[in-house]
Amino acid sequence: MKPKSSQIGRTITLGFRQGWFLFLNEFQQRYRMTFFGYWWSVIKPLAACLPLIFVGKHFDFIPGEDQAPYELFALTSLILWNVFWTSATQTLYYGRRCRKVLAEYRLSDTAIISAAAIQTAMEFGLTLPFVIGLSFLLDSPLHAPGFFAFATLPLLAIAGFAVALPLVPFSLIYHDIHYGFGFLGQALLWMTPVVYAMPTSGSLYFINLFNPITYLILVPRNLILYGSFTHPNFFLLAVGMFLVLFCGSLLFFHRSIRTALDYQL
Amino acid sequence: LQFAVEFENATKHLFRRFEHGRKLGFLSLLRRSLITDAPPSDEQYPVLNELNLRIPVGSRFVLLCSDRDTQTCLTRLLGGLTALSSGRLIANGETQIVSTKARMQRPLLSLRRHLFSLNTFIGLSHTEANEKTAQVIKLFNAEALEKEKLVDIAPELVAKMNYFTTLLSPAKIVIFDEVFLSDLPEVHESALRDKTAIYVACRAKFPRTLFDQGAVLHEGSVVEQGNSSDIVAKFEQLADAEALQVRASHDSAADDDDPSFDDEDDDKQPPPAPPERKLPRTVALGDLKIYGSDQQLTRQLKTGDSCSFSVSYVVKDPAVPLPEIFVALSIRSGARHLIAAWSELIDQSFSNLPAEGQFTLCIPKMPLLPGSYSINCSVRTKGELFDKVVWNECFEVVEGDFYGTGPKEVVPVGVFCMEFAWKLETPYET
Repeated sequence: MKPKSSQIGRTITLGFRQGWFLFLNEFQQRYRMTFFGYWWSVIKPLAACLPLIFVGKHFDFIPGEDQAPYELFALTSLILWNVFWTSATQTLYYGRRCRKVLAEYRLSDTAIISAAAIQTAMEFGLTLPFVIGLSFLLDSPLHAPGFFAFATLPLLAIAGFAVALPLVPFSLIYHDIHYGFGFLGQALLWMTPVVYAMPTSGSLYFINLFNPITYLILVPRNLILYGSFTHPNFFLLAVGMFLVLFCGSLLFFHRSIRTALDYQL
Repeated sequence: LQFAVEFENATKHLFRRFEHGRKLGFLSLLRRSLITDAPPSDEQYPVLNELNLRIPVGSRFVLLCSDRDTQTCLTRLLGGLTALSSGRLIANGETQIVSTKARMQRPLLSLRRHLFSLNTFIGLSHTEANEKTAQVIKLFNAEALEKEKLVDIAPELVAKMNYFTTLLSPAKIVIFDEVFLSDLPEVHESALRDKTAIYVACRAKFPRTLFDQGAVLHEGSVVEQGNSSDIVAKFEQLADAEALQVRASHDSAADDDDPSFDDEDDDKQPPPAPPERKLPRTVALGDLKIYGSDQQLTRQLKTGDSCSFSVSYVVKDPAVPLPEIFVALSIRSGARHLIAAWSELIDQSFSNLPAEGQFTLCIPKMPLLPGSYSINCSVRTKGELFDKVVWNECFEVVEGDFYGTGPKEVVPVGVFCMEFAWKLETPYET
């Protein structure tokens, strides 16, 4: 009998391979009827950032003189935010798209997560050069400790999976989840200091303070832009919280996904 | 282990999303995911009910289900895609559903990548998936097509390749809800060697040569288990009974809707007695007689010879005039209908039927190859089936001087077109 660890390893590997094919099949299909084709993978995340950056700069969302240029500040924050939010939305997306696949094949639990993770990594990889380019353009060099920010990216993705995974079984029964999830994204975006600096007082300060996503964005952003590791305790607390939530979400997903498929449409 | 699959008090419920316009689902899914053995609710309905069944290792077993929900659910349960609500299902080995469909089949994928991804979804490792992909491509001599996109390849070929990809998986228990009989029968046979084949159907559509035993499931429980002849006969009997029941319930519903009852005053008079049920104006079919070219009764016909099939009938209520009657006789080999001699096809109908007599089908040249054949015969009017009788393997065709169709053809064909005529004979004429 094979040791249990090798079985887990095999399941994860199989899940990744299945996720890769889910991603590949969807990626080819998604931009099939478009003029710009695969370029939409670059255009979409960047185009979503532009109005936010424009409005944020106009209203001076980061008051203070020693800050990085607002464009760089906001773009860096937004691509980090996208890692979190793309992981969440793509988990839901692949869950819904795979309803029939799940009904016909014993897909590994990690297949959907892997597909969403690959999609997220691809979008991050495509938008990161724009941050680097912008830093040169604005003569505001990125800091070397920013490399450590890469280590926090899986944590952002895990936070996204933790939020979305329990909703996947429900989304197979009712599409309300998909419609409602967009609003949740908007609410979370403004509850987190993504396009603005964290205020020092007021109700928004308390919202930011108790929002665990705040620290998952603040820490890598400060590492990239200023080379400083801020809020270490809150960061570790948020990481621990999301890891526990992720395990619970994965367990719930595992237990409920097959039951969800028993509902007759 | 002696059994490939064993159901022990297996119960399975499916759930409705809507019940009388009321939306259900969110809370019940939450309850069912968090609480084991959640109490039953009004949104669930049973498809398996305390099922006890054992399928021997290495057998060719058919599960004939009376409805599609049970068929789908059993297929998914056996394939490990869903779990029982209660009871136990023990499978002695990996299971695999054989299917022509591949849900992630995308038109822009190359054939090779598509088959490789299908093998990955089945759960094979990278090396195994590569080997199986190559094996299936070689089987169909499709090496030249392996880099072509699916959109440029005949869908039938892709469907067959999907089928054989799933069939050739290393699983020891193979579950079918469809079969490609005419394609690569030797591969089919060798792929099933040392494996248990389970055919799940809601019609007796699999040829009996494919399975040696089986069970009939009705309302989620086994009502008959035994050899192929027994269970097919029982299943057809059950299907006919169900059709009669549906017809009776339609009649009953029509009677309930009768507006004449609406005018009666319930306060002054006792509720009206239920109307006496009128028997459906039925023509019942009786015996089958087969005559050879020498006009003698026989069970053996020659390919190319003339022959006739006579089916006797009785009109149950001769006083009631009957509308135009159509007779349909199909000759089949296993589940495949080879000849459809339907009077409707040649614009032939019968009216003013005598109380009893026989419908005779005359075939000037028997177009079938040597083999054993079955007959389905039905009598009906436009929109209503009066009676249907099945005679399984009731006659044999032996070699004659004519080459025709039959069970051994290598390409899938439709129903054979041939010359035929129906005539009505009364007892005085015969």
